[in-house]
Formats: sequence, C-alpha cells, structure tokens
Amino acid sequence: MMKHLLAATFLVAAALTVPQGAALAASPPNMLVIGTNLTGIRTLDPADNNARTVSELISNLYDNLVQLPQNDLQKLKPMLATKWSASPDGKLITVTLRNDAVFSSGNPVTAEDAAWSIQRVIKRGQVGSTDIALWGFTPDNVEKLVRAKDAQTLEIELPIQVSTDLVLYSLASSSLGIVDKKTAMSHEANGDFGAGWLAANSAGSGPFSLSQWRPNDIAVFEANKKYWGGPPAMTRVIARHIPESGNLRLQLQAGDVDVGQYLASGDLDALANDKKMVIDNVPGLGFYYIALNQKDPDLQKPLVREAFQHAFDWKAISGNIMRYTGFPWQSVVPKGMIGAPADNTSRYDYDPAKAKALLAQAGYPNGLKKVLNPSGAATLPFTEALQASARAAGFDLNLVPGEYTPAFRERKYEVLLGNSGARLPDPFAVATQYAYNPDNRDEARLGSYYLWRTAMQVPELNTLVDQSMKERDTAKRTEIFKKIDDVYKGMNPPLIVFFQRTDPYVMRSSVKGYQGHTTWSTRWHGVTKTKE
Amino acid sequence: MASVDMTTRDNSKAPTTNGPVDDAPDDGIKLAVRRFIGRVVAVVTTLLGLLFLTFSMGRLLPADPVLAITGAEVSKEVYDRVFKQLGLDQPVYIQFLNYVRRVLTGDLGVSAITGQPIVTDLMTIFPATIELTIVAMIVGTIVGVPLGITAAVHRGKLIDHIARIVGLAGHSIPTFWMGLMALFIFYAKLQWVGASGRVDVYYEGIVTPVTGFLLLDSAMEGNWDVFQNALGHIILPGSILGYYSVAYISRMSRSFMLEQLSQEYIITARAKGLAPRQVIWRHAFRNIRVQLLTIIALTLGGLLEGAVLIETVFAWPGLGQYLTRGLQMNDMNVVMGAVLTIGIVFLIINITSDVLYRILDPRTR
Amino acid sequence: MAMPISQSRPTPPGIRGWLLAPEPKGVGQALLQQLYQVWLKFREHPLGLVGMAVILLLIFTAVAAPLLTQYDPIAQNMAIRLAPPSWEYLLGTDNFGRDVLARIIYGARTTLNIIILVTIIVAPIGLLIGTCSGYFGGIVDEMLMRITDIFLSFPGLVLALGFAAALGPGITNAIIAISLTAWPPIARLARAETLSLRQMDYIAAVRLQGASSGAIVLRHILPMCVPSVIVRVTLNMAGIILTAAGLGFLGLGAQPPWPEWGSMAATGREFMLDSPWVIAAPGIAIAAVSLAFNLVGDALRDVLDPRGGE
Repeated sequence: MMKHLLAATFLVAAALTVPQGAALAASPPNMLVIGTNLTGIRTLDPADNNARTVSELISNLYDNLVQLPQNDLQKLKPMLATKWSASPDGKLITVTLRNDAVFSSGNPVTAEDAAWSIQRVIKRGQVGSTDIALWGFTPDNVEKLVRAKDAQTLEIELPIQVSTDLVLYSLASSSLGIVDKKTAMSHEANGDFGAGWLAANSAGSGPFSLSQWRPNDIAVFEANKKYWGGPPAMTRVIARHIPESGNLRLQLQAGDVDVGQYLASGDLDALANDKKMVIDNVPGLGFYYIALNQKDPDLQKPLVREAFQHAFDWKAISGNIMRYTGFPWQSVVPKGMIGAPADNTSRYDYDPAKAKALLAQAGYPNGLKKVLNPSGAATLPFTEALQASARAAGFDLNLVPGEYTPAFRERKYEVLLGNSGARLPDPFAVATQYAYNPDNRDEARLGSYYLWRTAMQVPELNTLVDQSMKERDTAKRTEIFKKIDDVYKGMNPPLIVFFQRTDPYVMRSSVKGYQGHTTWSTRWHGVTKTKE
Repeated sequence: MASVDMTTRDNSKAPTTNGPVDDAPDDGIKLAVRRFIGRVVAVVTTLLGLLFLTFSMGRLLPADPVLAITGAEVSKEVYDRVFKQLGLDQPVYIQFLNYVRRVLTGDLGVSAITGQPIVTDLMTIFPATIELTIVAMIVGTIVGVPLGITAAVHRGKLIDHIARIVGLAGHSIPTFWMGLMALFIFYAKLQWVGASGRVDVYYEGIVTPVTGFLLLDSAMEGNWDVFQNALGHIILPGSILGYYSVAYISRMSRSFMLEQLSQEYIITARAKGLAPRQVIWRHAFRNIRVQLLTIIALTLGGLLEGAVLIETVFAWPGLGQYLTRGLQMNDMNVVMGAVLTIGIVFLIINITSDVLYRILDPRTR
Repeated sequence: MAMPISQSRPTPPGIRGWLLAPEPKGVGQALLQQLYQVWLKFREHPLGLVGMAVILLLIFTAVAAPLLTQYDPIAQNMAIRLAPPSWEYLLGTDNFGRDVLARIIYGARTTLNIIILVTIIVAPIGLLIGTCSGYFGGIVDEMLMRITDIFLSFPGLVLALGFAAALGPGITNAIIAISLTAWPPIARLARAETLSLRQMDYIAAVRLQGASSGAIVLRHILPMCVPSVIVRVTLNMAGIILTAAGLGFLGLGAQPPWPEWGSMAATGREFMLDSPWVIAAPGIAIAAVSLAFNLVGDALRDVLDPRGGE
C-alpha cells in the first residue's frame, strides 16, 4: 500500500515538474472566455429572465426583432425585422421580418415564431414579461392582439395607448428573443411552452447556440456558422462562474479569462493600472438607493425620511468604493435622458447635525434604532459606509448582512440599501420602478415596482407615469419627466437615490468589439481577438 | 475544525453505535443477532435524528419555500396553490413525516438557485469533492506518516517538537486563509499551478464524464493535456486540505510507532545490530500498517468537513461550495440536501470504521 | 457543600501543602488538587507552556484593549483607506480606513467572548446530560446517548453552518450554533466519568444518608467531573475558534462593524493582492490562538493519557 502511495507521489511530482507554461497559456484566439457571476440563473429561457448576466447570455442565443445600438440607445436598428411602422393612431405596429434567418434547428424564422414568442412571454407571466405586460397584454388577449399576418409579417395591436418607441424598445430586450416554436413545442411538458427544456437548451436563431450548461458553474456557446449576419469570429464562447473577484482578476491577468464582470473595487483599481487591460465603464439605467419601508411606523414620518437624506456620507465613498460602479446622482430620471435635471447632486448633502435635528423634531431626540440590510453581498460595503456615517447622525443601524432582495420584494425589511437596473432606454422604465404603485395592498404582490416594495403610493405620480407611457410627443414627455422629478424631490421619498449605476467590464486589450450594453443585451457577434 | 475534529477524536468516540448492547459478551448466535439488531436500530435512529436536524434547519431558514419554487413574480392564487401543494398548511409533524417519506424515495426537492433537482445537482458535484478529498488523503498520508514515524524515532528531541508544531500548525491555521495565501503565492506570484476550478476554462467539457473524477476520466481517455491541467488545479487545494489532516495522521503514526518500538522483537532486532532504518521500516512499520489504514480512512470525515471552506476559496464545484452558496442565497433545499448528504457520508464512515475496528483491532476481537 | 470524606489529618503548611494534602477536605479542595497535579506535569511541556502564554496574552489583550491602541476600531476614515503598515498604523488600515491593529486587538474581545460563552453554554449542558445519563442508566442513558450520537455523527462545522444560517447572522447566533455542535463530546466524557464515580464508596455513603438522586448528581458527581470537562473543552477550543472563524469568513459571524478575525479575513481577500496586510493580520491572529490551544491541548493529552504520548 505504502509503495503504491509513494509511486503515486512520484507521478504527481513528475507531472508537476513538466513545464506548465503551455498548459497555463492564454485562452485560444478564436475562443472568448468571460468570467462572470452565474449565481441565481436557474434557466436560460428568455421568458423567465430579465437580469443582467443572463440577459447577455440569452441575447447571443436568440435574436430580437429589433436592437438598440450601444452608441445611440434610442435609435432602433433592424435585426430579425427589416422594417416596422405604426398606424397613425399608434394602435397597430406592423413588423416585416427578414427571410434569410434560420433557427439552429434549421427551421426558418417566421412571423408565426415571433408572434408565438411574444404570446409565450405573456402567458408564462414570469419576470420576462415585466416590461411588455405594461402595454396591456394579458394571457387572454395576447393571442388575438399579437399575430402573424403572413410568413414574414407580424402585427402587434395595442390594447391601450402607448408610445410606439416604448413598445419597440421592449421588443429589443433579451426576454423577447424569438424562439423556434416547432422545436420548443416538441419538448413541451404540462403546458409549459417548452420552458423545462429551454432551461438548459437553446432554440434560437442567434449567432451562438448553447452546447453546455451547468447552473452556477459554466455556460458554453458554439458559433452558428450559418448565422444570417455571417459567422462570428469566435467559434466558442465560455461564460464561467468566477464569483471571487481576486480570483477573476488573477485569471484575467494570466490570460485565462478575456472579459471580467463584477470585479470588486479594489481589483478594478489594480487592473486600471495594468496596460494589458481595458476597463469599459458602461452607464446603467438604475441607481444605488436607500429604501425605507413605509410599513414601519417610525419610517413613515416624513421628517425621519428627510433625516436619512442627510445621514449618508456618500462623498466619502464616491472616489473609491463607487469609483467604477456609479457616479453621484440624486434624481430618479437617469443622466442623459429626457427630463433629467442638470445639477442634482446638492439635494442630499451629508449633514449629521441637520439629520439629528430632524430626528429630534420627529420625536427621536435620542436617535433611532433600525435594522439595516444590504440587498446582497455586492452592496454590503455601501451598507457599512452608511452605517458608519449614519451613526454620527443619530441612527443606530443594526447591520445584518445577507441576501435581502427577496425580503425587499416581500416588504419584509426596515432599511435597505440596494441597486437597481432597467432595460428600456427611456426614463419611463425607471419611473415605473421608482414612482409607480397602482395597488399598495400586500396581496397585490407588485414586487417589480420598487415603490410598492416600500409600501408607498402617490396617486399624482401614478398619473404622471401613466401619461409618460401614453404620450408620443417628445417635448411633452420631457415635461412629464421633469414634473415627476419635481414631485419626487419634494415628497421626502422612501427611495433615496445617491448614485447612478455604472457597470465596469474589464477586458484584455487583445479583445476587440466587446461592448457592454446599457440594457444588458451585450452581443458577441462582432468580437475578435488580436495577437498580444 | 470543529467539535468532531481529528486531533481530538478518540476511540471512545469513533464508533457511533455505542450502546449498552455493545458491552454484552458476544458468544452465542443469539447475542450476535441481538447485537446486530441493536446496531441496525441505532443506525436507523441516528438517520432519523439526522433527518430531524436537517428538517428543523430548513424550517428555521428565513427562506420562503413557496417562492423558491414559483420565483419571485407570483400571483396570490399561484402562491396559495403551491403553499398547499407543499403541504405547508399541515401540522409540523405531518410535514416532517412527509419530508422523511420524500427523502426515502430519493426526492430532496428542487434547488432555487440552479432550478434542478437536488439529487441531479449532487450527482454532478459529489465526485468533485471525493476527488479532492482523495488527493488530500494521499497528501496527508505522504506527509503525515513519515513525520509521525520520524518524531517517534527521535522522541523528545528537537525534531519531535518540530514535527509536532508542523502537524499542529496544519490543524490551527484556518484552511480558508491558507488557501487564499497559497493562491496568492503559487498562482498569482509564481504561476506554478492553475487557478480556481477543476481545469482551465478552455479545457472544460472536453473529457466525457464517466466516473465524474476528472483525473480518472482524462487518464482513461488518454487526454494528458487535460489530465495535467486538472492535476495543476487540484494539487493546491488538495495539499492544503491534506495538510489539515497531517496533525492527526502524524500523531497517530507516532504513537503507534512508539508502541512498536518498545516491543520485545524490535529491541532484539536492534540488539542483533540491524540498521535502524531497516528495523523501523521493515519490521515496525509493517506491523502498524493496518492500524494506519483505519486511521487514514477515518480522516475522510474531517476532510469532507474541511472541504466546505476550501472549495469556497478555490471555487471548486463540489459539495462544500454548493452548501455555502445555498446558505448565502437562502436556498433551503440545497442546505438541507447538502447537510444531509454530508451527514450520511459521515454515518457511513463511522459505521465502516466501527466495523474495521472490530475486524482489525485484536483487542476488540 | 464541604463534605468531609474522611477524618482530617494535619497537613503541611502553605498553599502548596494544601494542594498536595493526601486527604482533601472537601470537593473543592479535591478539585483543585486534581488540577494542581495536572499543572505539575503540564509545566514540563515547553510547547504547552508557550501555548499557555499565548492564551494569557489573548486574555490580556482582550481585557486591556482600550489601553493598547489609541484608535477606534470602527471609526471609518476613507481618506486613509488601505494605507500600508507604518509607524502610525503598525498593521496598516483596511478598506474603510480603520486601523487593522486596533481591529485585531478589539477582535480579541470577540474571540474571547466566543470562547467564554461557548464554554459557559456547553459545559453545563454536557455535564448535565452526561452525568444524568451515566448515573441513571437504563432508558435515560439510552435516549440521551442516542441524541448525543446523532449530534456527534454530524460534522461540526456543517452543523454549525446550517444552524448559523437558519438563525441568521450575528455573534450570538454563531455562538448558539457552535454550542449546539460542541456539547456532545463533553456529555460523552461526563458519562464515562460518572460511570466510574458511581461505584465509589463515598457516593454509596451519601446515598445511604438518604440524599436524593438529583442531589447526588448535582452535589457529588457533577463537580467531580469538572476538571476533566475543562480539559476536554480546552482540547476542543482550537476547533471552536476555527469554526467561529469559518462562520465569520462566510459572513455568519459577528455583524459589522464589530471586528471579528474571521470576517476581517473575508473582507481582506478582496484587497489581498495589493494590500495583503488586511488579510494577513487576522489570519495570523486566528492561527496563533488556535495553535496555542492545540499546543496546550496536546500537552494536556500527554499529561492525562501517557499511553498515547511519551
């Protein structure tokens, strides 16, 4: 026995002394390796997803009807659709599909597939339907309203008045990727529209198809050589779950990984000094905010909410912890969008004395004790910074770390620090999250509206958000968003915005054409790699 | 690492199935049968206790089992329906019985984070953990046994103290910290070994999993590139985990050896003028081989435990990482399933070592 | 409480004499005598003494924390974040600009806190279960030992992890979770001790005097088990510290901002490559204390069980 063990040691030692250089070299030139965080991705079914990482994966398996170029987000570009038009009253959108696109199964892409994919999203009713359901589609009416006129023509009839652009934007999001109806339905089980099968398989017309999927571990994509847009330069793309930031950084530097996502601030600082690395800081349509649950009697008091506005020393972290993940912003209308206020970073200045006075005025001269949660591990450092600065302002915040997004959705928290994102390149998308709450009852379960999560309802804001959806005139919409910002600013909101989000993508300088997308549908079709 | 840790494990604790039945003299078939039944009862109750512990863990976890199935976007109607389907409206003891029934039929539920049945997940990740612990075991043996024997031979001398400190240090330095430091030095600075995971990303999915042990699978396929790469990945976590068991293995080797060295025949052999090296390895070592084997088998439990943190640090896609992620994401079924699996493996190890003890140890025979 | 076991004899003067008296005057003296005997043998182990010194240093650090550093362990100062070690900040600062040394020093309090509380929780529970099991025997013994075995058949860290997660993060919950996993070996030991004590003459004598079973267990058996239980807890302490650090590392230990070595190491790993001092210090601290307990435990084991040792 011992002899065998010793023999084994020698084998191990021998294997290790072989120069490892070759084995540890950079990833091959026709392969793209993305180091990311795959936590929480249970399925790759477009209809069941709308979060950031998974959107990128899905966007490369499934084509959309239209797409939004990263350099001009509001300028729709053709994809599976070659052209589109709206009726004068805006109630009917007619889309013409290209005729040379085929699914990876070999089936041609038809208007029937497109209609079915949209119906499917609505009927599944999962998170993927969040945006498109806003336009009034329901499982009962969608089959009648979204239909194939002929093989190449899709008709979308709108049950309510909606700005045409908004509808088209929503069609560009990963959830509305066009699925191969025949293939999906051949795997249907218990009326799930093939969702069980699509969880770990792909049936799209995109430049890549899924070849391997292990949840929380790895996703492997093979190039679709017959892609209508030409075969992608990368024959293989691998998305690897590397949750440990330091690890990811090392693998980037060693050349094992080409693109890194979700790196921590310390590692980003270091990579910024590495000449072989490029950091692309992509602006996002969301914010870092403090949420105050209005079901809590203390936090209901406007003075307490106001005190919170002055209890966070956000300036202290803006140059370091937030350096790559956000920039100071205190309005719910994102920067660069219509109606966005020019200067808004002086609304909530850190003023512990003022906060203390407000608390005293609210009836808490000895301070206020509350439980503080981060939305998840990523927001923990911000929470710690808030806890420390709020102490000086009279808040005794008991920080309990963990994953609190589910609790936030369930309204089971007191004070929470989180970040948000949106997929439609229009202020409306953010306004629905931050300013819209049509039904404030617990049973309504409107967890996708952040204002509902804080249990606050403002009828005036509801009306304004509704108007912004229906209005088609840009000038008028600009006014509406300005108004929303004003109302929000003046009401001591339960969602206090401090930073607008940015998403840093780190890539090796040899990677060209990889561009992180604001609405998360980053596409790899144009990615190439040069020799280092 | 914890209460059931290796340096403190002693004979009184190793057999899980201690009871008054064991104390009975075992002559006669009747007694043997009774003892066997007693043992079976003990195993079954331990198993039930295990299930009860995991069940109460699941009940206490602040996760909503309904949302784990439906996802966050759920209407009131669906929520209530699933709530009933899961039997959450039933009294707790019925829920427990249901849980036991489901586990016995091999149904551990569905993971909220992977969307797959726990059993399916476990099938793919468990080999990764076993592979890691086996490598650790080999390392622990290769370092621990010679260390213990050298210490025994030089008992009370400086080398004995050094051996002791080396062994105990492995058992004192937090494995997660040692893992991070090792990654820093051997991967980041020296580039001697691969990074986290089982192989470099671009070697993923090349070898068809037959046994699930990557080293074995790649060797069987003759794919030496993958084999070498996988070896470069496993060697660091395997060594650190192995080092953790060195304290126990070296301590036991030392005391076994000391016992041998005081035996008559060794003294005679020495008196005859045999070379010390020969006396130790040819004669004394031969006699402690069996004991050592039992001890090494026993370390598996501790290694499995140590793997929880090591896997987290090295992003090793095994049971430990699965468990910690389940904990962090409040995935109730994952936590219950992983804890139960580890518990059952522990139980099996304990039963096996119990049996081994009886068969191999002349004193209990 | 003082129960004459036999007729007293004149003893040599002084504490030493009292400790070495051949016939202890009471349970208290008997206990101390037992411990003193252990100490006499223990002090011949140099490594054990080193370990003991480190433990004493830990206690001193925890008690005198405010005197040992001028810095506030939780006050943030972003302007000096991740400063390397210097004369001003001997071990550098962390990602919130907090002095690492101050956090290590105050972290000793957390560690000591865990050690003491786990001992306070675990020792009585283990003692009670073990002595009852051993004294009453029969069905009581059978049931209690079965429960003990169930807990023993679980890897401690995994069990602690599960319960810490179930109870939620926080130092109190971590202590409860660790305690849940740490009592069974104590119970086992106490049971074994009780089994041999039960046969003793003086227990029979007390029983003849009409003392109730409860009184016998509580007054006469339980105290006699204390020394070996203390030793046993010491043996397990390294494991307890590592489990606590592991919980902290996984975010299930002390809540921010209070310093705890395990969670300090966890946050430090983000900055490991460029600011290794943030993670090095807590790791070394954990290793030192844990090694100290292991050394003491190792020496104690040699003292108490010469068969396995020298």
